[in-house]
Amino acid sequence: MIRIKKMMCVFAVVIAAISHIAPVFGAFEYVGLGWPAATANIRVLGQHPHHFIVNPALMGNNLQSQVSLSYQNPFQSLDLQAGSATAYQSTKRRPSIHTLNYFGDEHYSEIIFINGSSWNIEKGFTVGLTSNYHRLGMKGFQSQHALTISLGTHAELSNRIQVGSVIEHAFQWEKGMTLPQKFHIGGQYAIGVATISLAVEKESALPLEACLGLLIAPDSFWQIGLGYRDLSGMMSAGWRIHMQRISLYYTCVLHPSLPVSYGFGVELFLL
Amino acid sequence: MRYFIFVFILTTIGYGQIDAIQGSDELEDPDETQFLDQLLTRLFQPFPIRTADSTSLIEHGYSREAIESIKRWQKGSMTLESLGRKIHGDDLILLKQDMRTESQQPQIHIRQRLQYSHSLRGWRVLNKARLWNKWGSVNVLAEQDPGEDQLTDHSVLSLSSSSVPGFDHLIIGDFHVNWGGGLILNHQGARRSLNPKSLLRMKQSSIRPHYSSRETNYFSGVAGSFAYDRIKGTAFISSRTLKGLSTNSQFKEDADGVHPAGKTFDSIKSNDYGLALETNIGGTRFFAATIYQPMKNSGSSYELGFSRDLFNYQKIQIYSNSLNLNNHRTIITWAYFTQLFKVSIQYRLFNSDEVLAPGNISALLGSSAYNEKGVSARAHLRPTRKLHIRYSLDTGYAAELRSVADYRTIQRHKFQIIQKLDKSLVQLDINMKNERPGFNADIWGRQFSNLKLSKYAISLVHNFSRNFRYRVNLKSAFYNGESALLVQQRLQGEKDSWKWSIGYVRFSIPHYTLRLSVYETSVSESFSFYTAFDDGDRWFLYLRYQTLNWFELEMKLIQTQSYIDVVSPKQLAMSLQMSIVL
Repeated sequence: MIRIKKMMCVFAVVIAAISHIAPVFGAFEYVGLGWPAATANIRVLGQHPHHFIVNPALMGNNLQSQVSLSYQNPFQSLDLQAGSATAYQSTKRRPSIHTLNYFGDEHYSEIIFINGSSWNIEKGFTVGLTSNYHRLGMKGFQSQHALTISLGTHAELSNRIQVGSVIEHAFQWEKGMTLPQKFHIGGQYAIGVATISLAVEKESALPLEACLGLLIAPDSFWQIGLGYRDLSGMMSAGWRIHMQRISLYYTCVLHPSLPVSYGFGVELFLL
Repeated sequence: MRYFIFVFILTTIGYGQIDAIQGSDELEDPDETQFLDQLLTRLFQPFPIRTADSTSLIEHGYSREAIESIKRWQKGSMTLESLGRKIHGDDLILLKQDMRTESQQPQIHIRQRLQYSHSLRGWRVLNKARLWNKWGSVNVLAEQDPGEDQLTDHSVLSLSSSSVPGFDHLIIGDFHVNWGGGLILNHQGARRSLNPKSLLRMKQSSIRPHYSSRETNYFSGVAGSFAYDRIKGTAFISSRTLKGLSTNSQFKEDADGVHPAGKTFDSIKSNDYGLALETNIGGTRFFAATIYQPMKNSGSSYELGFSRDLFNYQKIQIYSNSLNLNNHRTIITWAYFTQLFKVSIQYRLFNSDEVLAPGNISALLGSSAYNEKGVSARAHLRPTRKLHIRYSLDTGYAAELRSVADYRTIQRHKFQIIQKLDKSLVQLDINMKNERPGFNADIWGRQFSNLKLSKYAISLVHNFSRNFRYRVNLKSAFYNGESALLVQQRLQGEKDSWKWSIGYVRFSIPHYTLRLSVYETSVSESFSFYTAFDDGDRWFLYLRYQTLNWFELEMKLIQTQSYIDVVSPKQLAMSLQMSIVL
């Protein structure tokens, strides 16, 4: 009975979002997807392909080509599923990334297809661009689509300090739905085995949210991530182990009022 | 190559990016329009340092010593590298900026700003970028005020080029136009300062990209300037959607640019078409312009004018926007310039059926008046190289009594002395404004009371060293037996990659009529001032960190404390800006 009530609640919010509110706040908002979920879902800075799909300016030319597959169980006890497939490669010194994300269940689905690339403008300064296709589907309703372009920058000020910024969905062409724009800006400081990330995110009509992430990497084998987001009060944690050609990770996101989300992923390094 | 070497040398010895718009005349009331005019001029109308004469170099802000070096460089007897080594301090900052804007090298400016203040009740997000090379520039700006539902609530995009065949300058996107005497169109640059030249119209027809967060008084479409034989011209076609409110079938554009989600605004399409032509015949520059604005009652309007230099030291300018004596706007200006003494006098008569809307027409009586006449005069005496004495007079009266608002009259006198010392600068300002009637009710009672407001200000700037400066501004205001006092102190310094500024202001002001304003250091390309109108104090801390010659982080923290407001006595504000200048 509780599950049915929760389902009704989620559906009511989603239907309201689709039919009454533009832009569609609420849809495409799940933050537990991928390895960045462990560090407060900060995606404006980081060195994982799941960061690159939001800020492609983070991509360097020397990264190994890789394929990542991930699975999440959002809001435990609901039937929602989430997953992604990401491929990163560098062709003729031009890095590019492609990803397909899914979130939903048999009644409701969100699909995102992202392609991104980056350009090194100056030593230490890179800009990036992604094209994002979003499809929102719900049984009994016509699917809605949006094509957007996001812009990102990344500046490496020293071996220890990096800053970045992203304007998500700066330009968009939509059919039936408008995606909320989101501005991210943040800095990262590496000290010994720890990397501290501080970012602020401002989604269109929402207040500014500060996010704090801590990544501890004692050696090249394993990493531990912790994070906190102040507006929602969300806390997160996760670990990632890296072997020669394969990586595995686990993440856990605790929301103060929603059920816990957890996920795991596998990454294959091709070259 | 020479430019490249020079820019390289400069970037190794100075800041990669400098916001040189400083409150050079800080005792004047702050004016955002003037700030934007300076900013856009600096960004889009580079100072022609290769050809500028001594007078222009002085007015631009160079010291005598620097000008001597620049003149030698202009004549070819000094290399760019030597010039870079000869010039120091503020001159070097200015030189670097001039060289950078004149350079044809590809450049990118990106500025991203987050701004919070108690009055905004939230965060303001501003993203702006400029990319330019020898072909032209792309300018993008997006801004979201608190409560608005889009990061791009105000967005600006313009492509600007001086390399399109047939055009001197072509802009596609959002732009400003500034024409003739400003009688039919005067977007920005309207500020009349104490400088006698401010009464003259130096540029007859200019266009430039719109590149600010100001959401009014600009056009959107295509604008081009061209020259055929002896005729120069500017034309534009604009179609822009204006947001605002309609009351009694009158549409008023929303001036503050804040469009919170949930509040309904009216939108109307404004289509504007304009053409301006100018030519020089026998030393006289003739000007003609027409603008067609279907949305306005007048539909089309036009302006005619001429400007002539007399005996090399006098100038006369006459502009009129109609041949109909009963419905016209006319400006007559005469100026006399010598090295020692400069004076300009302007008479204006605006007698028109159109309200003197702000931004479109430069007027003293404000936006509610339909017509006005008055005299403006400026005098600048320079008895020695380090002493400046300035005086200004502005009067405004209704040319014809049509409504209650037309009873309003204003007379304003300003007197200023600036004395430069070896390491210091002392400035004294006296400002007297006489406005009547004091209250609208007086008109019906025929009690034409005067509103006499006097302001006195003194400022001292002392440079302890090249990188450490102290400034104190003491301002006072008197009205109807009451007085207000404000003291602002600022320390400014820089060392290595850091630049900092600390300011403290204490004010005791009984009411809004006696309000006093002060400039504050702020993040680059941002206009910052504070208007005090109660009893309290305020401090700010500004920090700038610059590294790699292309990256800059700026932060400004402010706390304002009111001794009267018991609800929120302490108010915090903050600005953060990340800039990349390549």
